[in-house]
Amino acid sequence: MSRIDSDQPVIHVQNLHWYANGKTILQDIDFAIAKGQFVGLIGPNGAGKSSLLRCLYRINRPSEGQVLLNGRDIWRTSLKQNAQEVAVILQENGDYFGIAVTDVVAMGLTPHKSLFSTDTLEDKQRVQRALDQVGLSELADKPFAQLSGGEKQRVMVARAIVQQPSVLLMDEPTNHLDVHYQIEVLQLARSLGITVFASIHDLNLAAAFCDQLLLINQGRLVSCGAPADVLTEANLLTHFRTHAQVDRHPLSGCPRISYDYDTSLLKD
Amino acid sequence: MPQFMRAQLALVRQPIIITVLVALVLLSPLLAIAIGTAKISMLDVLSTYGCHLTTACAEPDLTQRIVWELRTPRVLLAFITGAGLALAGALLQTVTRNPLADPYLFGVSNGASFGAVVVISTLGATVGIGMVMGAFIGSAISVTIVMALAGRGVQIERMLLAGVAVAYMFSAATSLVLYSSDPEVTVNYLFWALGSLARAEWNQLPLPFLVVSLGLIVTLAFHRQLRAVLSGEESAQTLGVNVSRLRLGMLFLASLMTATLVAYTGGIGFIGLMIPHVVRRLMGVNNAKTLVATALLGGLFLVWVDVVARTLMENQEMPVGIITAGIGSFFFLAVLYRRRWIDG
Repeated sequence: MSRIDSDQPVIHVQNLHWYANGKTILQDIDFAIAKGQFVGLIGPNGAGKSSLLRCLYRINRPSEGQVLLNGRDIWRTSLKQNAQEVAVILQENGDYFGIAVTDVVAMGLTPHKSLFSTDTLEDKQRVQRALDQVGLSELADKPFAQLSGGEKQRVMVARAIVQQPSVLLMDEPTNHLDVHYQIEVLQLARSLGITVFASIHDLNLAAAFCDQLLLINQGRLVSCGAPADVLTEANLLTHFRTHAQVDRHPLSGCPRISYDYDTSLLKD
Repeated sequence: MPQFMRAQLALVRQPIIITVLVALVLLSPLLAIAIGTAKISMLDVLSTYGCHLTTACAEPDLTQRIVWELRTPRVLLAFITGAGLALAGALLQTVTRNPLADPYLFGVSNGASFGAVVVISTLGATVGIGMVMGAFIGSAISVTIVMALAGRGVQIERMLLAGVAVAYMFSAATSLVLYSSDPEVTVNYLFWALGSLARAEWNQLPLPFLVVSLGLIVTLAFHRQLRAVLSGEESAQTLGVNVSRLRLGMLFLASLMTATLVAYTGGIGFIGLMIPHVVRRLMGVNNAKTLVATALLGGLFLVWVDVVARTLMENQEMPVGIITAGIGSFFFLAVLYRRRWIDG
């Protein structure tokens, strides 16, 4: 059984199985994430990355096994209590009715406020500070829909900051972003200093930013540990069906993957 | 003007617009009561209220009776109806995340029409609680069918399709009843279906008032959740909002308001579509202030449309539903015309 061991895991996934429409999507998943860790979830398309994340943010209910957050089954707490602990950044964002950036960020207050409550001065300052932190104060009143993809993801980070979670889950937050924004979004997430669990498509980015990696394929956890242990040439061949050479990044020292393109075919 | 500047202005303008709306809400009823076929001055209006507030108005003169018994309940019913329909529209547009949603979308009004026509044809009632009940039951049935077909998690597309089907079903049933009834029934039905506030009486006000107040209170209680839904279903869920339950609750609330109001006033359409749009344009997107503004503007709009309905033609009233549908359909076309390059 593969595990990331720790004394007091923030997230503890135990013997998780998830079936949908009679098909087994996830099976026998078992891992733990320690406080403050930045953990990346990698795997080929259709491996079940999003399904696993959905199990963690309480959309998919495990068919077997359970997801523990600070030792408590997330399905035994209310949606609201859960949202006070866990913030989520998705790859696609709604952009209806020209809603303003400030209002999107202020949504982060939702799990902390009671019915009828209005935004206090402190709430407004918290929203403002979060916008400052992601460098978007100048766009505060702009409609969210008009921002670029990278700006939208920064807004979602600001919303997560306002939500004051102890865990941040991200489902391919760097999808459709250019290199600059990919790095920026991951740096921002790292700078929060909280536990982060994110699915990341770009393996070099995953290697650079994550303390630990989980590799899943066909709904099973097939490898986990430090990036250098997971991103091996053998794993890349078996699970990503790609020939690659792995060495050290010249600047950061983390694993660097060079894919073996068949250059004779490319130049044809 | 670029859209981002408009949005920025919208946020700055919010307090100003609310102030103006509240002032208009306080002034409009007095003005609206004074305007009409019988010439009445503002002073008469105030003296009538003075008389009712202080001494018991034992022998009111004709003017005072017109002010107190006819026009005051009528203006109040217009305000309550307009406010309720606008709020119902805003709720539905938010929870379905469809800016063109309207209370009538889910077959509510067709169900109400059917209920009303059944009561008119069997009991011969034109006014009164019988028809109100009939209309209410009819719309309740249509909403129940739509909700039952909404599927797990209350899927919007299924609901819209079910709504269209239910609307046609009730429309056919209504035609069938009308076809096999006396001409008198048809006339009575037509008068009701076109929408009118002419039958307003004091004793009709409590139920619409209670239902719309309840709607406003619940809406304000959940204003954060309603805003969160705009970020998408899954995203709202991660903020701790039970989206299906919220959607079901708000759909029920919007239907309750629409059914009650349609029962009393008939087919007054397009307010629920138009007013939330205007408010969004002026004030930006859902927060507690814009929801209150939507209700106030909806109320004001119908009060003044009713004034037009009463005064447009001499010695005759125009059904108010014709005017709201006329304005509303032009508005709808204008919205589509403006959007044709944007959203495709």
